[in-house]
Amino acid sequence: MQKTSSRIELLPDHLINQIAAGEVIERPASVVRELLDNSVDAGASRIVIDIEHGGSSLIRVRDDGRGIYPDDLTLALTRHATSKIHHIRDLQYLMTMGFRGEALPSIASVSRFSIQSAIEGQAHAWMIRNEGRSGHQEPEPVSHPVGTTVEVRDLFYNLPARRKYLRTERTEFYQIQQLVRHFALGHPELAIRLTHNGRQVMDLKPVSAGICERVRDVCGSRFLQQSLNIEDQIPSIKLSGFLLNPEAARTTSDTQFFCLNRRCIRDKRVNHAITQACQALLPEGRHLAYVLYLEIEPSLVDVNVHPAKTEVRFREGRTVHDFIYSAVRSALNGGQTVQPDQSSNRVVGSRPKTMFYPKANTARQNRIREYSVRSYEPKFRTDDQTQKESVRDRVIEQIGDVHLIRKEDELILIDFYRAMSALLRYELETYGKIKAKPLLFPRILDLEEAIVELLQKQRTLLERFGIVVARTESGKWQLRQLPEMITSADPVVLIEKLCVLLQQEPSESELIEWISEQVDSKSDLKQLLEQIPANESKGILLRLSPEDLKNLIAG
Amino acid sequence: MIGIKRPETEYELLDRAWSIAGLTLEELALQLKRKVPENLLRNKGWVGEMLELVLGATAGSKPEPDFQHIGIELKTIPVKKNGEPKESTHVCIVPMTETQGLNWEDALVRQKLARVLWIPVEVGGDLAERRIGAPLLWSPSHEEETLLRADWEEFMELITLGDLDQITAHLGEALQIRPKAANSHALAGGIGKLGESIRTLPRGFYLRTSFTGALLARHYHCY
Repeated sequence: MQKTSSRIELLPDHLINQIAAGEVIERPASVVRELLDNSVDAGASRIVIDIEHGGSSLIRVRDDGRGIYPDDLTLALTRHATSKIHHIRDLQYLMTMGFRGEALPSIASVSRFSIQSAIEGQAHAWMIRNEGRSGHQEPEPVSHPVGTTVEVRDLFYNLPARRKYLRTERTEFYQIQQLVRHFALGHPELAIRLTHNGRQVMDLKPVSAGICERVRDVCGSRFLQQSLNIEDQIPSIKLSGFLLNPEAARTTSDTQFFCLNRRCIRDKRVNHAITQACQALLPEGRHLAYVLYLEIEPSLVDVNVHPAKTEVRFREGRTVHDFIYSAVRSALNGGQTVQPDQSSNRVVGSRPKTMFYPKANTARQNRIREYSVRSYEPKFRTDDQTQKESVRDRVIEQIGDVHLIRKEDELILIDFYRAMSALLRYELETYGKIKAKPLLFPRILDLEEAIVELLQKQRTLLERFGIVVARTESGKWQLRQLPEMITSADPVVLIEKLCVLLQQEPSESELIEWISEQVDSKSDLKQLLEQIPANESKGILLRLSPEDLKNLIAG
Repeated sequence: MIGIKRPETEYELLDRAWSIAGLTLEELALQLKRKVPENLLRNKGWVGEMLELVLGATAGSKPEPDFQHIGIELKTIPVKKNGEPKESTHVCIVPMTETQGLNWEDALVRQKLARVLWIPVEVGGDLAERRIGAPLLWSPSHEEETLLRADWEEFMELITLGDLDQITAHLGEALQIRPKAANSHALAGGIGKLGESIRTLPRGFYLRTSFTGALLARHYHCY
């Protein structure tokens, strides 16, 4: 095998486009999808789609939209050039079908391609051609009404491998037809005509009397007669449309159309929710048929998941799923069949208060609304965080009671016992007692009568100092609680020592000193440092900045 | 001390729990006139039963708090001598069907954990010598609840959407889902990938030891 060069090189443009095409353009239907999206975004009201040989020899989409500025024609064939978005935030509130600026150059790179376009007020139209890697030619004037015609001939002519994957003409056209049906349901205001090999397959007039008209034209009046009307909403989300009564379910799954904000999508979750809602009623081996429209606030859904845009990602996937489920459920439970003569004023399925409807789900829904503004809250284990922050803080040395600590760019000298005493005093003054914790396993104490008396007499004082000794029902003495700082001494020995001290009737400040001495000086110094109030630090610790250190040395 | 009345107030319950804190299991069994079994292999729930008995719990393993009238759930937590929990703590079963519209406010996990009486019990060594720890009456802090809720919502999304195969014991910060069944033949209803009904292993929600460990360390002197 010949050794190939292993140098890294930037790929030529036409190759980049072909690679992108591999992702966006899977089959002729994908081309149709992209071109229809463009027509809608151009504000067309009439679209004509001509297909030859299943789209492998010709796909032509003609619309009466705004057209493309002659100067922009060349740009339209440049990757990442688009008129649809201008800023990343536009993605969040996307109302156009396209936005990637990838479709036309990708299609152009794998076909013999041309665009003719005219805008209002221009003397004539312009056309630009592009043939695979040879690139596009200069625009030339042509005759064309206002609007755009895109012609895609010999798709994949320069990608023989891809061309082999195309199915029969019939299958490919079926895919296109399904796509156009789906698209037509999503855009009832458009007049759409579809021809195959010169024969008219579909000719839809813009609807005037409600969506029922378009559904009947696309799915047949039988479907409409046997369907339940679905209409339900929660804040920010609305579902409407038609679901074929599961008892009349079909053997094929060719009537499953779902539109999200007028975008035709196939989403796994949506299907999941509908199937789940219907499954008990659905005979085995039958498929559901539905035409459903979901309207959702654009910021709650991400369509920038896959270049083909048939998949979407919901911010609150489960809420959307549950909402669709319960909407379908309640339609099945109490929904009414659509009466064709009532088509213009839609029947709202009289929804009984069923258990399927999510009750009190408002908190979740409200959260959806808040979602976009709510910033991400860090999870609660901040220990790691503080640890990372204090990587540069460490105890350097201990001489006697004095510890040397580095904290960021400061050196700190701290007298441990004085610091501890100061902290205890501060807690007593501020909270009335020293911070304490119960022992995981309370110790049963074997005490003499005299000691018991002593402990009982000093009980209130001891509790102030975080030490709790209590008598249980069975008459035993239990050591329950100790100050938080004391972490290592044997509690029983500690109490014995305490009793010796108590016999001498110590003052409060003597008790404070005694407790300070019981604290293990290896305990968390950094924590201690943070707890000492700044105005109490005099006589306890010394902070030395790099400047202070220099001055010290300089004398 | 047999036939103990249920406590009528939170205070009474806590007081009772304190009264057995520090005792060994043998001492507790003696109070209840029971015998300490040789080991827990055939008496897995023995410790829990003893504690329920002495504290006057009523609910047993029903899906409601142990002390329902005062809204408190009793949780025995086996801990090592250094205070680390030995194992994750079972909270409740995972709802696998009819999960639509179920939200955190109504979740069994939340109800069960709203107010918990933790009783640590020592593990290791002779069963009779193991000690009963100090009781801790606990409700999740705001941070803890946020964490639990985030986990729960993530899990419920997977369950509702039929992605059961994606649920492993590695998932979740505070909560964990694990199969909870006598053996792999005991199956329960669930939701499949396409929204269809399936038979699958029943599962339980557990609190991770990292969560309970942090909780214990925060509240107790662990030595």
